[in-house]
Amino acid sequence: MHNFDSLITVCDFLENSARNFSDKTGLIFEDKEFNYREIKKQSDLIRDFLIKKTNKGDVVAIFLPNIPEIIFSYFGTLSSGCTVLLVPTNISDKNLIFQIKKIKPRFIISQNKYNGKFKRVGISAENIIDIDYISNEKSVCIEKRIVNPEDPSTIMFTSGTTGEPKGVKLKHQNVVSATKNIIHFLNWNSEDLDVNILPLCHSFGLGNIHCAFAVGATTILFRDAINLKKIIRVIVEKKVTTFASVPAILRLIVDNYMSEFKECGRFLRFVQTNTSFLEEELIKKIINVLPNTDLYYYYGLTEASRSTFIALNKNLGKIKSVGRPLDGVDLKIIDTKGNTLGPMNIGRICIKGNHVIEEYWDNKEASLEIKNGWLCTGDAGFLDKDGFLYFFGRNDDIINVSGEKVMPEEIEEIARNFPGVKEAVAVGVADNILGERVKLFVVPSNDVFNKNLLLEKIKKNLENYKIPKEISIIDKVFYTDNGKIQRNKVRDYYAK
Amino acid sequence: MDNEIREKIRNIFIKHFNLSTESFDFGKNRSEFENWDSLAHLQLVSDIEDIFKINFEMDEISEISKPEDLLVLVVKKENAQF
Repeated sequence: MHNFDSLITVCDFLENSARNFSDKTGLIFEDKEFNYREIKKQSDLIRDFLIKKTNKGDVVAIFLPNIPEIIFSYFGTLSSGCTVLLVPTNISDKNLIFQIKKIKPRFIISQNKYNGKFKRVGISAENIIDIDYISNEKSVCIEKRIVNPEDPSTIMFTSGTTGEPKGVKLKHQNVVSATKNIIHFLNWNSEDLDVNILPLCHSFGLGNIHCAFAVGATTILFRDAINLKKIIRVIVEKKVTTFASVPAILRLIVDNYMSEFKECGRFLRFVQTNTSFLEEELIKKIINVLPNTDLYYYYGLTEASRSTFIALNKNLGKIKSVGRPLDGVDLKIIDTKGNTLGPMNIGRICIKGNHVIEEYWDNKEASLEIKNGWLCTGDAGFLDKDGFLYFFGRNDDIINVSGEKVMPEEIEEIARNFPGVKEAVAVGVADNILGERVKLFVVPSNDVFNKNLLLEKIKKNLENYKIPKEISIIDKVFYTDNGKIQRNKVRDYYAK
Repeated sequence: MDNEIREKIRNIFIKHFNLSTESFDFGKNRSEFENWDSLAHLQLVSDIEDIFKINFEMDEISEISKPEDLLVLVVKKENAQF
């Protein structure tokens, strides 16, 4: 059993495993393997370099893809007493400028291949440190810095489906609390072998690194989720026990590699996925293909990592739920006036717990959403009488048709699976009588698309109030840097 | 026809990854691109399917690791249509 008491800051995840599992392989990437001692050594090189060049509390941005160096840089920066700004490498130039101006990091740890991007957005070369340069610097620093639980550890920007992106400021104690909760619920242990295909610059992927490192498990890191066949082959060959993926990738795996994925079920203890729309049909397919593997679904935000969990295979009667809050997490649903709602009433989801942030980075207005420890999310949902949460979608995206709440994903899912549809976006538009009505935008993939046939299909599958009153053909959809649909932007753009 | 396909694919890449003409190279590996991640990969493949009116198998999509791979696949599929 792992000793949780020794986990005080994020740095302890690596410190402890380097002490307790020093010769054990902690990380596998392509043909390279690193034991925990080596990971610590690489991380210490970065720590020593930064201690000499920074003051405690400075922010250091990490701009790296999924390679071992992002992990070395992350732990090295944290143990230098600096705060990490994790920047996705697929970020748009506009958002990169926004983040850099907002945070003003002391340095950006990156690779030469991104220099063109930095030059394009006007970032001075003296602020950029090539990761290979640090790794080859052998000088030792004797100064040590104390890192405290209440120190900020990480800043990650939320994608901002509406408004400008918000800098989520996580403290060490928030991350430690979330990690302990997840480890406890999923029973992560040192025998686990995890395949991580998720971007480590986001909460889901990074959270799995936290769990694996905190218990001394082994991570097989993938650069991306492109070669699904290889990922599945590795799961079988290496006898991988834990795997996490977004629903879209699980869908591709199930649709294209059903028999190969079945083989994975011999070894996988669990598969985790998150709160993107997960249709019932896909859940049932996965449970059917992996009958001895737990399928965990969670609800969480960067601001309040993995607040609820459900093992869908063990709760078939609650298959549309995102689960119950983990230990130490409180949930409530409020109405527009801030009153707490009873079971089965849809409202705004609020979360409280040690894993919840106290404030956003330099954003007083957004920080007003956190009161007395309660984070009032922008998400809509309800709790049932057993305390299971049902996630309804972004509060801003919910379409209110004469008091009936419509989740756009439900309509979009049917449209996307219809012949000739490449992309579909459902939005609410003003209606004199209903308040709002559903409008569906479709990007056709070919000439086969027939608007009337799609409407018939939707009518057969959904309640009357969810049926679009209008289907418009468009040529493109707007996404955030994380690939989330910007529904309001689509609606406003095509309203012109 | 192959040259025409080559030119089209070059332009798709330049537009998709916001590249300068001189920095594009058919032999450049995926990891050498600034932002060729899973999402960009699927969007790229989807664009190419639409433009050339062809369909890729999942295995083919998985194996694409440089622009050259896509070029070879498109040429093969286009030639098969004639």
